[in-house]
Amino acid sequence: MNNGYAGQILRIDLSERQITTFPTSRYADWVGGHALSAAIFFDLTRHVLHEMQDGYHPQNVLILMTSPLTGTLVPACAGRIEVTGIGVQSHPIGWFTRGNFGGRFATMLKHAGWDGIVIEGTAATPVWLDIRDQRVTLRECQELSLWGQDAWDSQLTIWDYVAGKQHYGRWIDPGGRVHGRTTQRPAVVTIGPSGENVCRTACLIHDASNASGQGGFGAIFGLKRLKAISVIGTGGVAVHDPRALLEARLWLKEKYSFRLSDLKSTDIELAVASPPVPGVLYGNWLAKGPGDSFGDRPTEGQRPQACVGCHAGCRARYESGLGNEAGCVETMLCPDADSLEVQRRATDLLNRYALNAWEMVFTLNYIRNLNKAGQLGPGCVIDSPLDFSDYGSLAFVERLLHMAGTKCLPDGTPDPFAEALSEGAYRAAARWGRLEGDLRSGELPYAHWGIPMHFDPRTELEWGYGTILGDRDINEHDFQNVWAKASFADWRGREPDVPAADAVRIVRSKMPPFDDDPRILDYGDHNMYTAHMAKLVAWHRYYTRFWKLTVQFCDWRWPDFINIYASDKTGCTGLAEPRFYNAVTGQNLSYSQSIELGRRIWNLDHAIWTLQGRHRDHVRFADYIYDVPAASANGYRELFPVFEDGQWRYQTRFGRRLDRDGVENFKTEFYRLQGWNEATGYPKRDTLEELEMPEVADELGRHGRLG
Amino acid sequence: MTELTEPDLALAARLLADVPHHQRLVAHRKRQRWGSIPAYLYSFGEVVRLLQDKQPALSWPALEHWLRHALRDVELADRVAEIMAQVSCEQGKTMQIRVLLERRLSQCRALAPS
Ligand code: SF4
Repeated sequence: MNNGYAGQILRIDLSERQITTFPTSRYADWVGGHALSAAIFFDLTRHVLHEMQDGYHPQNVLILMTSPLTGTLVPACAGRIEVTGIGVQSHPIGWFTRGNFGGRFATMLKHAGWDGIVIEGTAATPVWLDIRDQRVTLRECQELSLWGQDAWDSQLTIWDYVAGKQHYGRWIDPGGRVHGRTTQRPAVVTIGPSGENVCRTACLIHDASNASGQGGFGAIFGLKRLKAISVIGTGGVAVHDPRALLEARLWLKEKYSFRLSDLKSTDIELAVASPPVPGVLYGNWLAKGPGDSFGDRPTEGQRPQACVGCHAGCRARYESGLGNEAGCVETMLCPDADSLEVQRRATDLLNRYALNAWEMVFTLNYIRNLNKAGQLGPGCVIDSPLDFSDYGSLAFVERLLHMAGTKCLPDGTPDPFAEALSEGAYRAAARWGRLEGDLRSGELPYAHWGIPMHFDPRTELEWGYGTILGDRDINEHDFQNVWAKASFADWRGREPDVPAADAVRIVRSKMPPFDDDPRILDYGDHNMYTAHMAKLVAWHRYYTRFWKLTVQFCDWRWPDFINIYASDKTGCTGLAEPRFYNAVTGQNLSYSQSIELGRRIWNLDHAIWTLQGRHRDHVRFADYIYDVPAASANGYRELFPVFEDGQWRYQTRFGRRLDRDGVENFKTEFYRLQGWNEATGYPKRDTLEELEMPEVADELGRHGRLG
Repeated sequence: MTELTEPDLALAARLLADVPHHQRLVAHRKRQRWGSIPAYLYSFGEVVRLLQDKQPALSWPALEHWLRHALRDVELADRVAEIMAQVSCEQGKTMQIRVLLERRLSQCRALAPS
């Protein structure tokens, strides 16, 4: 097929040790990635969804799915894969949720001839999946002593087993295709000790630091006794119109990319913030030299590293071999560490244990505060063996991560405090009887679903609303990236490159079908709970559901709303995504149609959550979001567009809190816009039938959950 | 920038010690893509380290108050207040306050190297 698809999906039943396949075309309507996974998930679990309150349910299904653009030249898109299933992180219900990771795995899977993998059941003994082109084998972990290895050692063990120990550059015949050869090592996604020990904070790791972090999918792998999936492929991906694809990539470079000879800003992050972005240009403006760089990528002895096909190279490999490929919050576990080396070793340890970095950063903050308050420590109300006297040292980090990732003390003794850590701070607080009080004060900054706050819902409205209406911290920086450009300018004491009125005009023009609403991007206090705000949140759900979660455009580079290299500073979003998509698939998808497909996917997800038990009353923030004002700060200040006195301006929103009745009003507006029941939040049959999902309406009807 | 007077041993000891929980400063480390990570600061050294971050976010009035009342370093608090009043750009303020606090930290460490 010359349309980007491999054409078949693997189905692995771990309980029966059965490997079957089905054609991707069965789900042709659902494109790939998240949408395709959600549709398969619904089909496989619809009869038990109403009792799936947590990812530990034995009939939970985990799905890894590529998109038709995977393995092609589409920039900041081709190397990513979606992970979907019921999670174990969110609270009170483990929602149907998702993660995503980059690197080589997605491309290798396509090269082996598979669009995705569906994993069901539980193995009797620990196994790993060995995919070599069309030859797919479930192997016992025992033969390689794989169970018990950390997330890096297990990958090295599998590399040696599948590809031998020869040097890079030598041909490998993995043996799954006639005349198939490659110089690559297999791509392996694996769990570490935390997954094996079924910790809710466990994630999946691939290569050095590609992680599917949220959801606790590492624990699901562990529970299913699936240690790793290895894939090596020697094929390729056939695209519909290779010339059109290359032309699109050259067009992007010509019209929307930086030129070193003509940087448009003295601020390097602004100057290169439009795709493509070479990570090597990132640096710490305050760093005076090695050892003095905190919280940012060291600028010495590095080269950029990228997911397959990506021009951005947003991460790095270092000559020291420490902290490789880490480019996000995993570098921030120990900003107070004794040295940069400790910070980078801490990052590596997080990867080896395969722990959710965002969760561990917040957990460490929380328990340190309790320790400082005299509440946690040896003999304290929360009796903890964790010694804080060497906080900031590598030894401290090692003890912390060992306990969180194994539920045991360093000597191997099971320990209740370590067990609490392995659940994450939210559930630990509940065990310690502190949850309600600490959520009220904000001492436990977990704003929604038992998940740490990322951007503050009191100021970054679309982020907070998107999260409570969904299943996880959305981690979608679309609008945040635009307002951040103004925040950077403010930080530097300069005027923004694009004034607020122009930025709002440009961004709004890319938001069909709501591009006619002049107030959709107003973050002012007067617009927090309105129908305009509901449209902003809805559009964001639709765009990301389709282009990021389903087609796999990388959140770190897309969308391109404002671009200082474009002649009128209007970025390529709306033009670029369909152009790449159509070149690969041979379809003729318009931008507006893509947003409508996003609405369909969003409605399917919402129906699944409803079947799991979601009701309007669940959809709320933690108390501190309503009761405690957002912290005011100097230094770097986040700005937002606000329409006041007939003018658009960038303003901070410090000191703001949300109003409970106001949020209820927002929910009513949002449900009305969606065509859901305003009292319950349940989807209506008419809405689902309009979206061509009558079978979903039937299932909801069977369980009394149609609106 | 005029040099800071040498701190006495008592002041140096206060600046090098941790403050109790109720006197901690709450700040943030900000990134365009990471978002906002709370930083709970229990010592003068931790404040300096925060200011060495790429994009720190900390209330200057809170810092000045903390220096004046929690650490009782009146001279340093006055100098921070001067910078707050004189420098308009936030990055410039951050850099100047950072340099000032780094100097004070070096003075204290030289006095009480342990
Ligand atoms: S921007 Fe970074 S994370 Fe995203 S695809 Fe490119 S290299 Fe991967």
